[in-house]
Amino acid sequence: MTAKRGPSIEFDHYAPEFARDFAEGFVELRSTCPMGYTESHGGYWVASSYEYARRVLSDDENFTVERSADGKTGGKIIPTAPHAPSIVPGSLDGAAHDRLRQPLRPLFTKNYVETKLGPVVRGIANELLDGLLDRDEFDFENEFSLKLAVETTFEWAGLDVEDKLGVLLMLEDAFAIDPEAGTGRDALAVATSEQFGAAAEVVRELVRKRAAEPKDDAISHMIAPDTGLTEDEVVSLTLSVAAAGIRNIGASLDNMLLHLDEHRDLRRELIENPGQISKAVDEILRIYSPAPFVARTALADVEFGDIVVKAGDRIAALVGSANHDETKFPDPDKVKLDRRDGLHLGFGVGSHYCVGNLLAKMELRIALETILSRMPEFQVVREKTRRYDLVGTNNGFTTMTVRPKPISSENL
Amino acid sequence: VTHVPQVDEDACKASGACVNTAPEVFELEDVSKVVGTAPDDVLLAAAKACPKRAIRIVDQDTNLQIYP
Repeated sequence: MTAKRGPSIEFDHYAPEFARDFAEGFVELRSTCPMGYTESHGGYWVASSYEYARRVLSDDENFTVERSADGKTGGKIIPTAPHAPSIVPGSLDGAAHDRLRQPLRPLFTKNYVETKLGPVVRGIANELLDGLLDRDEFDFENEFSLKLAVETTFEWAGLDVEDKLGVLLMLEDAFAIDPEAGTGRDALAVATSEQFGAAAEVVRELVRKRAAEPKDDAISHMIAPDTGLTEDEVVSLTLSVAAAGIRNIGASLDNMLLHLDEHRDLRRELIENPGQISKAVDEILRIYSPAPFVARTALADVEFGDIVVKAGDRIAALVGSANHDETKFPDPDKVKLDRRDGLHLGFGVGSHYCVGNLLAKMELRIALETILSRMPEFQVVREKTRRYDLVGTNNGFTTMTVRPKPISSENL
Repeated sequence: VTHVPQVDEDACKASGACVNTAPEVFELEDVSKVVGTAPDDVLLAAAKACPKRAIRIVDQDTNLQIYP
């Protein structure tokens, strides 16, 4: 285990430098060492080119998302959080994974997402803005993005609980995905295990209710006899989906707003051609990759050029870098509405490709349509906007202040 | 691009394996549809991932079947 794995790199996804700038930060790493080994957090490989990152994510025969049998090593985050419950089906491979994922598929098709949930999202976005547009400024992350994502996801599931945001925050701690927890994730998972148990019981009650009296929501569809899922599995799936998708939506919405604040020409173009908004959304997802770092564990020795990743080694796909790979995406830092460079890795790829990607894209598209039609002249107040200090798990914001109407020069 | 995928819609059971392997090429509703293109190795991997062997890869120029 002490043998040098080489080529070694200075890298830590929980370092402040990592958070500073995706666009420029990884250019050198990608060109000089697309597969490098860092000693941080017990050691792991970093695949930073598009080709290598895609290979790591696609090759589920050689790379597993699962934790070791004792739960102490492996998994999708580094360092491992042994005390966190598993997010399903994302933390499983093979048949066990497919069995849990298959029943989710009909609940995330384009048709289901657009016709059933589209109007819901539009309603939530409008209602939230109704309460915000008269204000001089508001916290876009906490009063719009996060609420939109929470309301939509809970509505999808059919989770009609009182304190939705409270439930979400607790789930994030329990699952060890609190965006800012850094290396303290496992401690949080331990501290919240009791609350997690309580939340699971609340969901279990709902699952039983829906089993007896089905509604047209995800919980009802999952607990229906034809899926073959047990009550425990439906509870886990519901908690997992509620926890997994929300921050990525919030982060992407915030990044979108900041980008359109910096690029007024693009904003004008989207206001004039709302049909282009979905393309802009995909470009923002590529450029600001909400989940920039995704880990696996090698199951066998795998060659990348003349480098050999050994069985048992930890390895990460650096999505935030791969999505800026200039050999795949020329002029990578620019939103190009006519870009045809193929798949970005913002939703991953392979057997764990984000099952909710169409829901996410629809939410972002409708949110932006609503924002551009109701507050087309918004401004982001930079001095009252703060990105997370640590973005290794989520490339988002703790707060983002937005003025819905520009302040006229007389008032300054 | 000379290689193109063709989905046998009667054989497709919408497992989603092709979408996961090549999200840039396939989209799923009741069955899988071809909506884009990708390099040959990605197309082949997607076809091989199909548990129903419902995806054929054909060379557009020669009309020859590359896979299966």
